[in-house]
Amino acid sequence: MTAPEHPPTIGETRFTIDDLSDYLDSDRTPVIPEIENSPECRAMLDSLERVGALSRELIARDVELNPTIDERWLGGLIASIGREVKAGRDIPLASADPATSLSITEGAVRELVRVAGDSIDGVLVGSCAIDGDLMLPAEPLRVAVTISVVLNGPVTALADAVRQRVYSELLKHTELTIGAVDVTVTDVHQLTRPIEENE
Amino acid sequence: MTTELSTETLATLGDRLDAVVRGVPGVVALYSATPAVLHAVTQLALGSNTAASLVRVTTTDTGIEILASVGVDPESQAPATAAAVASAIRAALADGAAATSADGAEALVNVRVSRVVA
Repeated sequence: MTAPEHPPTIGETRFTIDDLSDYLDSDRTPVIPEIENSPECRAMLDSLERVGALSRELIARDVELNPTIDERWLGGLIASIGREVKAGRDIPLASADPATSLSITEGAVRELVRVAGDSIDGVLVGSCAIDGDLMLPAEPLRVAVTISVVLNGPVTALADAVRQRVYSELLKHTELTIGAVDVTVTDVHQLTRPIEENE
Repeated sequence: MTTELSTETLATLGDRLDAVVRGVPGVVALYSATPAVLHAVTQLALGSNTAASLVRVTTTDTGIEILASVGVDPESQAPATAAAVASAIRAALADGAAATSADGAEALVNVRVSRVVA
């Protein structure tokens, strides 16, 4: 008999994705400082809210989309976010003072990429991977992003918009050398009625 | 030689630096620089009326080491904001808080951007 598998916890806390989902359902009351003071938990809470809002928006736009936004798909997406919010290594930022060390975490960079992609209307980022040695600032890195799109325009235009937004955010907030941002569309949700002007 | 500073002095300095870091333009959040489990234990020891500081201050052989974990506004630039946080911490140390550290103690300042978030 194998031991039961424990669901992974977020960051260095004792909380699982389900715990955080329950915490959101309770409107984050009473406040749990261990959650609120953890960047990984806060990133996960924001992602859960964003994914929830986008899913509700899709369903509101077209109830016939329901079958394509199934629980397994959402579960996979949320599990992927759970893995990516982990802080990971500290990526150095330049500092002129040898007694001062500045850094940005891998988790912060992955979240930056995800939020940049999600900010494009009709796009939900599925996963984000950064290939290359993050500790070597001059080494070109490859950022690979998978996205789901709601088809309200040409797929290539959506993918290009994601690529440009991700690139500009990484340029603004990191000192990494970005060699390529590859965007792969893994899911296409077809609306059965067009999006109205004011939707 | 390890710098001799009381736990109370370190906690006071940590509290003061929490306020300093929160006041830096571009900083929208301050997170626990101590691993969550350790921070929770510290909080339990302090009781519910006193919040454990989020900036971590520890002693080293030559002085003190400070770690601040921050969230940065997307409208700001993370590298510039991290540098501003480090400068603000050093200014605070020079402006009185340094009196709490040992003479000639060196301060290592670490600033970690943990999120870029609105």
